[in-house]
Amino acid sequence: MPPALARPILAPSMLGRPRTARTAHSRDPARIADCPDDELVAELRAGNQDAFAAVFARYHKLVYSTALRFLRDAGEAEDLMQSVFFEAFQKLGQFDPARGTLKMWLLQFAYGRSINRRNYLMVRRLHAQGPRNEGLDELAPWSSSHAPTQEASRLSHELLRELPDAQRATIEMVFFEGLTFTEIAERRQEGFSAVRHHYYRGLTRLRDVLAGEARSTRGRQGGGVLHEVKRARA
Amino acid sequence: MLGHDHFESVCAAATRGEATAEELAEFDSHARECECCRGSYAEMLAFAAREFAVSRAQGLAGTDTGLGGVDSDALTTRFLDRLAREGLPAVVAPPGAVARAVRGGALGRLAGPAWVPRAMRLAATLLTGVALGGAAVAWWQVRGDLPRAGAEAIAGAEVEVRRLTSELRASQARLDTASGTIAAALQRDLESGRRYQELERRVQRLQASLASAKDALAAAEQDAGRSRDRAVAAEVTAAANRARVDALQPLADDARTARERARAAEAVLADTHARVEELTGELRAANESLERHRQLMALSRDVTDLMGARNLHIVDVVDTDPQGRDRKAFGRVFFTENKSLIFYAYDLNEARIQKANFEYRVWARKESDPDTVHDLGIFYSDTTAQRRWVFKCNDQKVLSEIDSVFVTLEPANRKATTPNGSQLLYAYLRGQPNHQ
Repeated sequence: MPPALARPILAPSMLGRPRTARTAHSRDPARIADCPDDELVAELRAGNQDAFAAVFARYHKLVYSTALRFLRDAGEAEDLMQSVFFEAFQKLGQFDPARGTLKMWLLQFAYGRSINRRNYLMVRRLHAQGPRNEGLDELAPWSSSHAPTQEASRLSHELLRELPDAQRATIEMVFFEGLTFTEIAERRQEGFSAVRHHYYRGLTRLRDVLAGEARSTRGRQGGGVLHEVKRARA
Repeated sequence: MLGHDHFESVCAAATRGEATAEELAEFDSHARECECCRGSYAEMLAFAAREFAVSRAQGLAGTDTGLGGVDSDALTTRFLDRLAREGLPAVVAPPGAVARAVRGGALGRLAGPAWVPRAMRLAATLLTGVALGGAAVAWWQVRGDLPRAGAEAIAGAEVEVRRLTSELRASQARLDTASGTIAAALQRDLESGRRYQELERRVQRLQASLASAKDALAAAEQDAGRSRDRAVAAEVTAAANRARVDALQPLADDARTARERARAAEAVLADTHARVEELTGELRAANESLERHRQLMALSRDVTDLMGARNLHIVDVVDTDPQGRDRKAFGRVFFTENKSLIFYAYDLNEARIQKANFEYRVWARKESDPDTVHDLGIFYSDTTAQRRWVFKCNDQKVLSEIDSVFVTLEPANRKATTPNGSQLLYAYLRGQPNHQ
């Protein structure tokens, strides 16, 4: 990681600076709203607070809708959306444009946080019926310290084709079409448990191989290779 | 004990939000002590998040997510409020066009018209100019040595002061108007505040209701838990009962076999009973036949004895009514002196003795001692077809003491020592024998 990216670009202290302290990189606020994402990121790293507002205005609906899709509660979704933007801006130093767009980066944050929050709430509701009711801590699998990063491994075209038909079809329906296990079970005329097992086996197999490939493929650009496969088929 | 394979399966489902609450709780407990499973979950979640992000990023042309009903301004306002609460005020009020675009119309309207600050600045400038001009005129007048050019300057300044005064009045009027607008806005703000407080109170009431509902839900869940416990206990009891039933199954089989044997034995018994009845009937018939033979033999012996007897009296007995007419019943006596007496009676009134429960009793006496009467016995029906009755006596002592016999009708259930009924079929036995 370059030294310039090693520190948080938009620390709270920087956000709190008066407007007159903006850097020389700042541009006319009226034109920031129309900037492409990469320029907005550059402005953010330069300490331009208008870029912060512009990023929020551009993507808060996307993050909110993602959170709402998994949490199914407007209040929880809004709270999670705010947390995502807080955390994303504080960790902007970890963002690498070479690994994906700002939009994808925020979506990864939104997805990971939503799933973690959903799982945490389900466990908490279950434990609320019994004596145990622990809060979220660092040892919990849903802790924020386990949030996904841009370092996630990606699939290979060849590996996907080597999966058994049922596993490959399930993986594709999950990632390409966004179907739930129940929807896949109905479409494939299979039981829910069978679909879930196909997904688990396929994902485990992909992960095991990708764990070996990750070292050699680190730094490769673009989206998930699953989607590269899809594009190639199209 | 569940292994990593199971927990990795839960991991995979959990990273898609497809795991159940029980599985998640189980995995949560396990992962707190298993760094390997925490790592697996993080890897799978990162993988799923990336593929999800790629899918969404490619599937959406812009930032429009199709959430037409989302109040973007409200989301933005609340986000900025949170920023303000958490110590980032500079971001809360982002300057410039972008900031105004982000904050939307609501906050902008609350800030008042854009020309108000400029009017206020202009008014301040005018007031300062008028004050400075007035001071200069006063100072020059005090000095008393105004040159002509100064007089012209003063005249010009007065014109400028009048113009500025006019502008000041106009600005003052606009300022008054703006103040009214601001006051109205403040009033609206105040009303909004009151409305906000009212909404806050309503939220508090709703929260209280929610808390009550949660309590009720918790109580209901406890009840459900107890019901589940009872159901489990009932299942355990049922299982124990099923085990007992299974244990009793051999006994039940034995009982069934015993019942079948009993039924078979009953059938054999019924057959045997029928056979016994059949044999009993045959025995009865044989006995009757034997009895007939015995009677025949006895009769035959009696007949033989009678046929060969000495001093035999054969006496026919017929009763007559007071008019001297023969009665219906009659009798015949076979008397062997001091040896046997056979008394036959015919056409006795059988219906009378059956209805009134009477019997025909035979008496004997010695004519020289009429008060001494011997009860010899009763008549028996000898043959129904011939309406014949018979009485036999072989008591030689009694037969040696009597001279005559007669019959009376006596109640069957009373033991009579003397005859009470009227005499029937009287026969005197001490005449000359019919057969020597």
